[in-house]
Amino acid sequence: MSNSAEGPDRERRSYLKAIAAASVFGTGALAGCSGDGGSGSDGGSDGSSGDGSSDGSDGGGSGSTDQSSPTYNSTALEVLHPWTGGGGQNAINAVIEGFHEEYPDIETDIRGVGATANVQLNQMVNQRLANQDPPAAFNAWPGAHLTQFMQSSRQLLGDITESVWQHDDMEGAFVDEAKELSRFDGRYVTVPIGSHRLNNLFFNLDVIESAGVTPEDVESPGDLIPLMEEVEANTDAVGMAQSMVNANTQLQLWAAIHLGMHGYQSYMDLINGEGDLQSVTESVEMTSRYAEFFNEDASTVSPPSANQKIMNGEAGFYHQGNWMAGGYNANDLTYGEDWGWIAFPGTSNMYTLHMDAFVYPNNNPAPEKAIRWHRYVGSKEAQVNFNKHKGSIPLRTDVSMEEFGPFLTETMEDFRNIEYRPPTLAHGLAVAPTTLVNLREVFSSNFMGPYEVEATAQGIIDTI
Amino acid sequence: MSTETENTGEALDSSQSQLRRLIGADAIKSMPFWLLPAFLVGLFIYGAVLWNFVISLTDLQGFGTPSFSQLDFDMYGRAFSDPQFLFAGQNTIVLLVVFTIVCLVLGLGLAILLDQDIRRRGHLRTIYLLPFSLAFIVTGQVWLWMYNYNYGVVNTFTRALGLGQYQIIGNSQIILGAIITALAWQFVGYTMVVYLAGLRTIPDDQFEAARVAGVKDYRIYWKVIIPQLKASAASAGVILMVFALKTFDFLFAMFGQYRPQKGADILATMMVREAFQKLEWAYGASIAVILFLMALGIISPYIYYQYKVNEI
Repeated sequence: MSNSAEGPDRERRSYLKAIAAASVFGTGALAGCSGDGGSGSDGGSDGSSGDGSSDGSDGGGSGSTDQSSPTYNSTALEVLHPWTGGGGQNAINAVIEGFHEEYPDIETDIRGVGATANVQLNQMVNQRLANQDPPAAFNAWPGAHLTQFMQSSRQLLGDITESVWQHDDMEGAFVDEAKELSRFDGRYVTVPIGSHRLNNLFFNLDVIESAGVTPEDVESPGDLIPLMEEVEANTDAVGMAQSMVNANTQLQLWAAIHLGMHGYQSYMDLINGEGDLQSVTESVEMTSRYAEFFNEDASTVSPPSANQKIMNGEAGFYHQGNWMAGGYNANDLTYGEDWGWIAFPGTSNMYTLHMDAFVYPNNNPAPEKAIRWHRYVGSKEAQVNFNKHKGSIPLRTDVSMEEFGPFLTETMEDFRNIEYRPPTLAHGLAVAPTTLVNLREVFSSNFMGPYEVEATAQGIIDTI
Repeated sequence: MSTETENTGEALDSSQSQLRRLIGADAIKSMPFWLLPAFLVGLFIYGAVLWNFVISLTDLQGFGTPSFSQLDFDMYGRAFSDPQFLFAGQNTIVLLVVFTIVCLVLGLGLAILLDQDIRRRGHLRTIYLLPFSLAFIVTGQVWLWMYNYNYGVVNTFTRALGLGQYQIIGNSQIILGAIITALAWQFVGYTMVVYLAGLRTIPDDQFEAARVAGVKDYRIYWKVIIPQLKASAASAGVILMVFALKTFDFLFAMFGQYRPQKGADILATMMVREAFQKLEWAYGASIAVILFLMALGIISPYIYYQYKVNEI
């Protein structure tokens, strides 16, 4: 640099100027980087300076004064969700549309981050929260899935007890399970948008009739085995459809079998870390007997492709969450004529609870807008519009089921009247994310064929 | 004697200082061309590598902030006593070696066959290069279908040949082989193009001379042509090995989870799982450093080789 005086040609000087400018920018970026990872104590100020630089002006304020709404900042409402196709996409689009009608002055940036079982969305959210760059709202499973955020030394999730749950007495309208799973140490951090039932056993009625079996009589997981034998003996179909492209579906099936064999209390003890090796070994053993009836290409088919086997009559039974009904509707198959379902054997007094929810991060980049979003998500209108497209049920007790069709109405009635609502293991409500990842590892390593019963059972007990 | 040394010393001094000035001037003059790229590469590549290494020395996990008060190699110790790490590491190395050798051998064969075609008439290169232009997300899904037990084309062939049907992805013994095959399918075309470029630089004269001398074609290739393709093989090999370390995308496209089927876990998938799913940032970072060292171990002999033959 000091030598620059010796060759005073203009070109070079302008180069140097450009480089100087670039390095200033670069240094700024470096400072930003180290700030992100380095210091946590000034998280609040980091967040707010991020707002300013990302949007520049606060001109958005003029828009917000139009209505009774409070002072919105200029940051667009960024919402991350996992629904990028099919019924899920229609469902979230219906919510977005309604939200725009309700709050026309809120600029939104709502993005789908898709993949099976929220894999990519969860990863992205983890990354954003770890970098202290949260979105205004994101979709996640409530319950144990959120413990990772609650246990952090930093306050990662914001309190929306007053601003959302106590607004318009939303709290009074929701079912108890939804409230329990949304609340940590007495403060609400999330608003559930809908629930799927997970302990469904679907079947193709043609196949069932040709095989001459009546699934309604089945009372325990073991009782289903002769029925699957009949299906294989009397039809071309396999006894049970299954997707094993990854281990989560195996984990889910085992959890359903365990509930069916040993009941609600044993399952709850298990997820609370007081599992009994003997009973787990029995349910794992039973799962391995089910595996004899799987389609041979299980390891290469996705859950929707496995469902296709029910629709095509290539398989008799299929255990999945009630979201699979969306596939039947999309293919114009009629409930009660082409397909039917029972609660998974042994679980007719239970509704295995799956739930999706929108979470409110702390240091919110657009706090007031995010509050409006969560209020809307909890409203009757949003709950109805979302769930009727998604094939799930609303978590408010005061919505009418008129628009939902017979299958979902039945599900809703079951949900209200049923004895137990155990939280799902494979979909994050029952155990913390790390435990869930480790459980999947147990199944990946020991239970994707050949089926090692003892190692799997021991692994489950050791992990939870 | 003494005056002479003084003189030469003086002469050296002045010539050295001149030289120094010259170098200095050159470096300064070329600065616009190297400073910005060097700075950006330094920051975003080496800076990130260094930062990752520092993180791996902490015990950062969850959403906490790293504490730099106690830096140690605990995470590396943990890695080498973790059976899953050893298993994934072993898979990574097998994948690396077998995949690279398969691609180099098949690529060479294809290149020689095509080279004959080019020397005589049209060209077919594009067909072989096509798989390389496909994204992993596509090839992963397509190969998953091809390996399907009931409908997959692989099993259709084995059935037609009377060999019966096979669980391929569902069998932890052969899944790695199946993945290597799929990857090789994608990269053989690329290897072939690298070889072809090498082959095109070999003048036709050598063929003609050998033919006049009555040497058979395969012997020409074996004795004359292939030995001249060492540089092509080395550069293709390095790129293939680095790709093999990054098979992550392919596996994720296939299985939709960061945990591939039993028998196919590699360090890259394990690293993402540890860091982003379990929030074990420091442990994930240490796996990343080990992967980086493996990549470095592959690249550095090549760089040294290039340096020795005066390519850089």
